[in-house]
Amino acid sequence: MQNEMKISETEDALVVFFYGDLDHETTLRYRDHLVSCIEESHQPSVIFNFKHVHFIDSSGIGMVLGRYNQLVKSQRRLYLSGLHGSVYKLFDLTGLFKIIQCLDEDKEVEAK
Amino acid sequence: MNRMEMHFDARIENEAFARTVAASFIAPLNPTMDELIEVKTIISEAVANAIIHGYNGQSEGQVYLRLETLDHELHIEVEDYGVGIQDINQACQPLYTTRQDLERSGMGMTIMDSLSDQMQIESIPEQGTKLVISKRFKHGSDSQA
Repeated sequence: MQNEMKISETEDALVVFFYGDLDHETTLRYRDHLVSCIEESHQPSVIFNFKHVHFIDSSGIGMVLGRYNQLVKSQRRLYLSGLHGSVYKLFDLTGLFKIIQCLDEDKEVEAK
Repeated sequence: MNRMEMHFDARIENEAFARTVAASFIAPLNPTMDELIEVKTIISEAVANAIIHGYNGQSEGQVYLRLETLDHELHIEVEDYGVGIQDINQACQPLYTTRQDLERSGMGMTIMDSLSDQMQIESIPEQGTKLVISKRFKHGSDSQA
């Protein structure tokens, strides 16, 4: 699967789908675009969907924390969804769930 | 016993290359899917540290990856001849990072330590760093998984 990021909007949220690997190379590649999309959007919440992520390392955790901090500054919320297997484990291992809420079910619609 | 060694340029795209090589190398041991991903994560963190911190963007630097399998155990060495670590204890603290600008989480060492059975760091400032890690596979080569 190709590594990519797709961003769409629902009525009340900006939804970001990640595909493939989230490692140091891809997170650095996505960062500036993601930061400006969140900056320009006025949605009260942002949802990161990891359903199609096959691999994640500490840089993925760093990216989530970075965007969480960005959103907190404008009193907005970040939610995680589509967590599975190894992705869930790494988030759990690093204590991310203590500050960021995980949605039970991913109902977000993928951008084409 | 089976051994391999390779070295490659300190370019960040080689993180994916290194973990893919490691995954192929350990396949004959029949690791579980979880164990396979854990090894890929360990290799990624170690190699990214060597590239980002050890060589600090000097892509001509060489990162060495050595793997050795013996029965149900994998022995990993990742070595660079970069700047070295001034204070190993500090580098291993969760959330500690010297590169705030890159938005890395500062969790790399913690993640590697949690996923491996043993981890040892040897580093000399201005000479380089070597990570020595071992990981045992629970089911090993007689697994059906």
